[in-house]
Amino acid sequence: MDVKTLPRRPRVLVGKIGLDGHNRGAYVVAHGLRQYGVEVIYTGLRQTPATVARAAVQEDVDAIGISSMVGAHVSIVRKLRKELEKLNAVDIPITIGGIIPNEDFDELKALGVARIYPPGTEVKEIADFVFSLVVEKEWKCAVPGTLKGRSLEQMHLVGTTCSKCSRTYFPKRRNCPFCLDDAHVQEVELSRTGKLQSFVVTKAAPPGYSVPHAQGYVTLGDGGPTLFTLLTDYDESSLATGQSMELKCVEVRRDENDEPIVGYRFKPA
Amino acid sequence: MRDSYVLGVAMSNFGKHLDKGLKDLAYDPIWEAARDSKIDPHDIDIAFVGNAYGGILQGQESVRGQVIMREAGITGIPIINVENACASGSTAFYLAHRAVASGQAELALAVGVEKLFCGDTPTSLKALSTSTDVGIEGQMGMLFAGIYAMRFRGYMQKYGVTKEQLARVAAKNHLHGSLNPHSQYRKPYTVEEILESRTIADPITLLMTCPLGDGAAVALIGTKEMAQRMGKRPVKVGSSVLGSFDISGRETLSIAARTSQKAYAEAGVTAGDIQVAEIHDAVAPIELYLYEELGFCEPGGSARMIDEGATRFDGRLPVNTSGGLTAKGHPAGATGLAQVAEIAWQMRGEAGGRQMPTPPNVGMTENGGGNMAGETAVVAVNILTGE
Repeated sequence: MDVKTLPRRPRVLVGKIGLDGHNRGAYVVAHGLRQYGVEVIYTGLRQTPATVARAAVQEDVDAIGISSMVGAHVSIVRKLRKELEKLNAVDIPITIGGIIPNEDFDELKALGVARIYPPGTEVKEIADFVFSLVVEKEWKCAVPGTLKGRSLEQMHLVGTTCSKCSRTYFPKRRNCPFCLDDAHVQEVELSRTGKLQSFVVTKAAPPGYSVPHAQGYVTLGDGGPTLFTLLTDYDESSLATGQSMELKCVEVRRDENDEPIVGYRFKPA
Repeated sequence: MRDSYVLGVAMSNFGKHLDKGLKDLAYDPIWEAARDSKIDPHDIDIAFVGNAYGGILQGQESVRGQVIMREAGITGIPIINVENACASGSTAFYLAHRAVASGQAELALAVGVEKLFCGDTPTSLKALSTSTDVGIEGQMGMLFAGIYAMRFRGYMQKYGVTKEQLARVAAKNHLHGSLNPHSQYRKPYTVEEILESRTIADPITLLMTCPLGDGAAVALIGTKEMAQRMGKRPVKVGSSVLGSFDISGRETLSIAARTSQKAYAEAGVTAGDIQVAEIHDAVAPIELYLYEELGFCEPGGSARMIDEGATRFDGRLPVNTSGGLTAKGHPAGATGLAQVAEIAWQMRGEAGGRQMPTPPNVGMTENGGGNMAGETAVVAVNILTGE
C-alpha cells in the first residue's frame, strides 16, 4: 500500500514512558515510518503516561506506538490506558514494540493493545497497520453494502437517493425504480433513527434465530425509506407502533477468515 | 384472445405423505383430471408444472416438471417448469389459460405439486424462508406468520377487531375443512380451542395458521368445444391476472386490491358479482383484511361479515369452502390449483358436504406467494364463470 492512495496522511505518536533510555528501536521505527510517508510525533525519553496520552489527543493521532526495553510494558500500558480513559480517547489504538516476552502477549491484548512488535519486526508491517487505520473500512455486511463507518458505534445505513424525484431507497440501488433512470441516483447516509411502523414478536423462528424473535418495519427519519429489520434491546410489553427507534449495529457472525460480518438492528430510542 | 375453459380438476388429499415423492403425489390428480375432462390424453399440447421448494427439499433442482410428467407417462410435449413460491400453481394455471386463449394450444395441463414434509421441520421452515430476497429480508429470519401478523395488526387496531373474531375465521375454515375429504385437518375446532392453542406470533395462534403439507392439484384448460363435450357444466376462465410487488412507490393500492381490480375489469364483473371465493388464508385472520382489499365489504366491514356467518358455505358470500389453507392445508405449489378445483366443484355441484345451496355462477381465487419489500411478491387472481 502506498501513502498516496490513502484519503489522508496517517499521523502517529511514538513515545517512551518511564526510566528507559534505550531509544534506538523507537528511532528506527519513527524514521522508518516517516520514509513510508507517515507523519510521526516523537515524544523523546522518560515521559509519563499522562503526558503521552495528552499529546496523542492534542495531536489527533491515528495510533500510539510505545517502545519498551526494560520489562515494564504491562504496567506502562495499564497506566497509559487509564490516562486515555480519562480523556475519553480509548479509541486511539495502542501498539507496543521492544523486548516483549511471548507470555505477556495475552495480558497486553486483554489491556487493549492492538499490535505487538517484538524484535525482528519489519517496519513495513507497522506501516501497513498504520495505513489500515485511515482507510475507510469495507465491512462485510450480512446484507451486502448496507453499512459504513469506522466502528460499530459510528456505523450508519447506506441508501440511494434520486435527485429527480427525491425518493430514497434502502438498500442502495443502481437506479431509481420510480424514474427508471440511473442518471440521478447517488449514495446517501441514512438517518440513524426512525419510527416503528409495525412489529411482531414471534414464538417460532427459522433455524439459526432464537425465540422470541422480534421483527418490524421501521420508517427512517428525514423522509427516509421503510425497512424490514430485527429488533433488539426491547421490552416486549412496552413495544408500540409509532415509537422512536434507533439503529444498533452488531457483529452477526464471523466469516471463514474470522472477519466479522456486521448487521443492522433497531432498538427503542 | 379466445375464451378458455376449465375442464377436469383434481387434487390429492393434502397432508403428510412421507412415503410419497413429488411424482407420486402428482400422478393420481393428473389422471383423474384427464378422465374427468373426457379428453384423449394424447391431445394434451403443453404442460405447466408448478412447484416451489423441490430443489431445496427434494434435491430436484432442475427439470421437476419433466420428472413428474415422465411418471405420468405424458411426454414429448413442451413441459415448462413454473416457480412463483406459494403462487406457483396459480402461475401454472395463468400460463395454461394464456396458452389456450392465445391459440398456442388447444389443451393445456396445469399441475401444482409440493412436498413440504421432509422429516425435519426446521429444514422445511428454512426452505419457506427463501421466498424473499435471501440477501436482504432473508438475513432477518423472515417467518410468514410474522409477516402476516404485522400486516394484520394495523388493521385490527384501526377497526377494533377482536381476537375472538380472528378465531371465528379459523373456526369457519376448520368447519369447512371437516366437510372436505381432501382436507389435511378434518376436525372442527371451537373458537375457544383456537384461542387456547399455542401463540405463534401474537395475535396468531397455531390453529389459525396453515400446516406444512404435501399434495398436488391439477386442472386441464381447453376450448369451449371441449368444455361442452365434457358433459359437465362449462366453467369459463373470465380472467387470470398475475400481479407483483411494487418498489417504485407509484402504487397506492395494495397488491391484492390492484390485482383483483384488474381481474374484475378483464372479466367484466365487479366485486359485488362474486358468489364464492377461495383466498390465500395462510393465517386465517388475514381473510378479514382480504375481504376489504378484494372489495367484498366496505372499509372496516369484514369483522361483521364473519360475525354474521356471511362467508360460511351456506352464507351469502362463501369464502374458502374447501377449508382454505388453514384447514385444507398449504402444499405451496399445489395451493392455487386446489383453489381453482374447489370453485369448479362448487359451480358443478360436486362439493359434497360443503356444497353451497345454489351452485354459484361467478367465483374467484386469490393466491399469494413470497414476500418482497413489504408486499406479497406475487398475487394471482382468477375469475371463473359458470355457464
